[in-house]
Amino acid sequence: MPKVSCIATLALAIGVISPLNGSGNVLPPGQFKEQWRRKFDSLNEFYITQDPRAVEDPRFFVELAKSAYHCDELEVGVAALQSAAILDPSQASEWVGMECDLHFYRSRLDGTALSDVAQCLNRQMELDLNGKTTTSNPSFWESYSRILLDLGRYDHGIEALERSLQASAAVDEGGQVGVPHPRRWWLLGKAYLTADEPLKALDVLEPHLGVWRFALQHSELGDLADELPDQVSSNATAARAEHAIMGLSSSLSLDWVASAWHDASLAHLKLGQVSEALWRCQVALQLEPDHASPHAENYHQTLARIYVLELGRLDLARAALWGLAGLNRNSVPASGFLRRGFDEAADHFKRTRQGHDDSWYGLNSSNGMRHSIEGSLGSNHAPPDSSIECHEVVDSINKQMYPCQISPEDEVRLHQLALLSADDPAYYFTMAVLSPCARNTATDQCFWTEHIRLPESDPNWGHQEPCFNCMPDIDSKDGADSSELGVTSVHAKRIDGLGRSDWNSDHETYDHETDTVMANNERYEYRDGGVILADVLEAASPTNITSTAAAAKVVPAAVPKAAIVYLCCADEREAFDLGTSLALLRNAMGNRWRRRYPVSDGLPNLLSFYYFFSRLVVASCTTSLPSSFLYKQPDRPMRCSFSKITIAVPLQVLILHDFLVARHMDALYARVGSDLGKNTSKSKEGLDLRFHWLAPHDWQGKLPDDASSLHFNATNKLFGYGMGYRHMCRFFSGPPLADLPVLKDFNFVLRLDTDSFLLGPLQGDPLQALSQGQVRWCSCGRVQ
Amino acid sequence: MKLVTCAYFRHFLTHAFRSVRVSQFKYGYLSAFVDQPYFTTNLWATTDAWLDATRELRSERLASIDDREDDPGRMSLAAWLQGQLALSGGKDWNDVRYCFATNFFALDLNWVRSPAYRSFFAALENSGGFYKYRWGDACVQFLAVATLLTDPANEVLHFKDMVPYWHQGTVIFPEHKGLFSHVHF
Repeated sequence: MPKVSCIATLALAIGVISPLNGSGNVLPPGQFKEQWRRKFDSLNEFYITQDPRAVEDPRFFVELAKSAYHCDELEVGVAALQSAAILDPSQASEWVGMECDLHFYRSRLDGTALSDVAQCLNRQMELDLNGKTTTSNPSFWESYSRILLDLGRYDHGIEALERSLQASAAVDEGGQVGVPHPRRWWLLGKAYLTADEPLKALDVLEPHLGVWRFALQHSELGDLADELPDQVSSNATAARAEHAIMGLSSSLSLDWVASAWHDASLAHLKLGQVSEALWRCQVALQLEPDHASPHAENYHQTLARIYVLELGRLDLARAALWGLAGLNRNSVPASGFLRRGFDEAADHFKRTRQGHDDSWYGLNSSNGMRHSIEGSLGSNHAPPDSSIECHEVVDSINKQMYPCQISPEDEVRLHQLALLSADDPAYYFTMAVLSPCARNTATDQCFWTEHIRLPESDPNWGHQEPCFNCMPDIDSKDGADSSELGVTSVHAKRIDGLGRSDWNSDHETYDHETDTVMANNERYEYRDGGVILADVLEAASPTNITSTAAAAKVVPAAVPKAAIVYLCCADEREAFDLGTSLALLRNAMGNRWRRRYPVSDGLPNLLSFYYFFSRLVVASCTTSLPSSFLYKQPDRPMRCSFSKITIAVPLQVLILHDFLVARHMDALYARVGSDLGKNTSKSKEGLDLRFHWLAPHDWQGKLPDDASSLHFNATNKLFGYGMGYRHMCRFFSGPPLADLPVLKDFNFVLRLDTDSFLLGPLQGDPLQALSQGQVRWCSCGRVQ
Repeated sequence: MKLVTCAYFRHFLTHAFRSVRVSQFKYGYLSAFVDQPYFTTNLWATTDAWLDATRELRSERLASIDDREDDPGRMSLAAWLQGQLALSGGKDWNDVRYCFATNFFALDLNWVRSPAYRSFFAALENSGGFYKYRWGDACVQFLAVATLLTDPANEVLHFKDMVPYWHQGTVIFPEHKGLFSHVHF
């Protein structure tokens, strides 16, 4: 019987080129619906009517499964293959393999099918008596492990990967007898990382990293061991010998090597070994610097995490993230982002090296940063230290045990050094980040920094002020700062702390047209207040009206009852992230948080304009206004000041949690300057943190009934997501959050994640913008 | 009443004074994304069934869209979604799977406490989908906005250009506004 032909056809589609094995380009099911629909309908009709000519022939079922696959009728295909396997047990192993592929496709649309895939693969293994397609096939074990890891069965997933290594060696997959394909080591290390076992991950990865990188770069076997730390190099030497004999060649696909370095970086990061993590991440970026590669995006994130979370360097983190911001834009080339990001940072320092004072560029490292670098940086808020001598840095690096692993302190010093004097700081940054060997880089860059000076002005930077130059002074002690007034970066420089000076000229240069579409920022501008005031005064004419009279006619918007909420934490790492998130939140709000919600009633000579971060900005107009003010004529000075600030109700930051203990809370209070939550005068300097313990019934729903759901297994993860994550998703879906008793007096919330990081001063108050509303905003200034 | 002449204010005030309603935004978001199909299994089907079961609400919603035909600039999110579907050739939300990134969102709690929102949430909750399929709050919030808010132009706020922000792969630098040293985006 020509049984083979139809099997072969089907196998081509869903068997041999299996999606599970990840080999080849497999068209997803349903791509040829039109061509196959008639056949499927016809065969299915036979099946539905249980035509005896069909349902007793396994070939019929295989054919039905084939058409079902092409018509995206996966459930039918599964049933058909199960029937075929029963009718002809001799072929069962192969047909079950095809069935597993169909389950895999099902799982792409429905995660509950993951357990079906696992069960099916297990069944296939039992049926495959000689192990030809399963136990002796390394790709089978890889597929199996992938599903098991998705389900959160880490032990079994890792075991399967170990079996894949054995099978790989047995079939000479690595190019020589008894040697596995090196990629399988990486997969095993990655699985250990997924299972939160960083030490084991490093045991697997570290001996191979150098050799892999070498193989990828197609270099000669040279002084490789010198570039590796001692504990790695001995292993690397052995591994190199082994791989040299093996002859790692370019015929092996090595596009995963950068990811392996990155995974090693993540493992070191989990262990708190920042220096090692930084170096490995830099190598990963060196191997795959552009976003054009699918994984480099993650490397940039890791680099930024190291900079901001571990080193407290927001400027470098911003530079590392610059490319990702570009990714969110349209029509952006997918390369060179790393350089551009550091280019921006370099530009900032270049322009501001005289008297630079911007607390953004260095989180307060005394506030719980794991690795304080304050000593090497000098004062946290000080400008880059121009007294650093190049040779000192190089000497320092050379004294280290592993000269290619630059210490965080030297990393920062080198950056500062280059920023201060290099001809092209961006070049230095790029090299410093990408170079695997800091010693050589330092030497090279010292040459540049010592011999080439910056020109006075560089036309290449363009005539527009770059944004880094325009960060407002967020710690100005009196009155509103420029960002609160919603001025764009173009204006910030010319407006003083109260937004008063040069106001008219700014107004003239401001391009209203470009910002009308999304002008939420601008509603906070003084100009907006001005127009409201103008309306008031106009309506209350005659001329020479006083502001007191006008004030009586202004109806201020209601104070929003709002809080910022966090939900924390799954583990210690998240608790640590939360600290940084809060520290950045505090920075972003600046001293706005130290001022509280306003009380505006009953105050004479006050006109209320807007609230901003729990504060009412009021104008005290002590003189009558010229009528020309109504028309914003540029030659008339403004007579109102913004000096009166009243304080009332605090805006809370609520940490909803079921994890934190006293030591966490003490650390978090310290990070945001809340003086351990005590209601002292000092506590007003920080965020108003409130911790609220969540009992399970506060945030967890009822799990579905197992009996009514064949596929629901609460112990399984779903593509790595456990039940805690799913509780969280439900919690933030609405009523469970809104119904919390602790929120009963609030009308608005802003939710931040523990790894939400504010990278600069906010350009507006999200809660105020939300609560005031587009229409309410205007109505609040209308004459009643 | 005198209106200033610059286009900027005209834009705002025209909108403001044309509307007699004094409303607040109900929902604010920073970014949005397309979720994986396997995290949205049955989510739209459940939402659709809920809409069918609450026909009164649905007809009210559709009527409110029709009312604004003279003002396409204030198209509702539901109508916008229809447009997206038309562009992509899809037939329902399943074909686009838009979701709000909920690592940063702001909302009006009273809206969430409203009977309509509770009804929507209860329908989802009763289906067990949060736990069976790991439905994300991101997609649920999008669908709540798309199905429950009738006037997104005044009820949904995009915090665009307001927040310099980083969460995993999402990075926003609003202050740049295209100002680069060498490259002008």
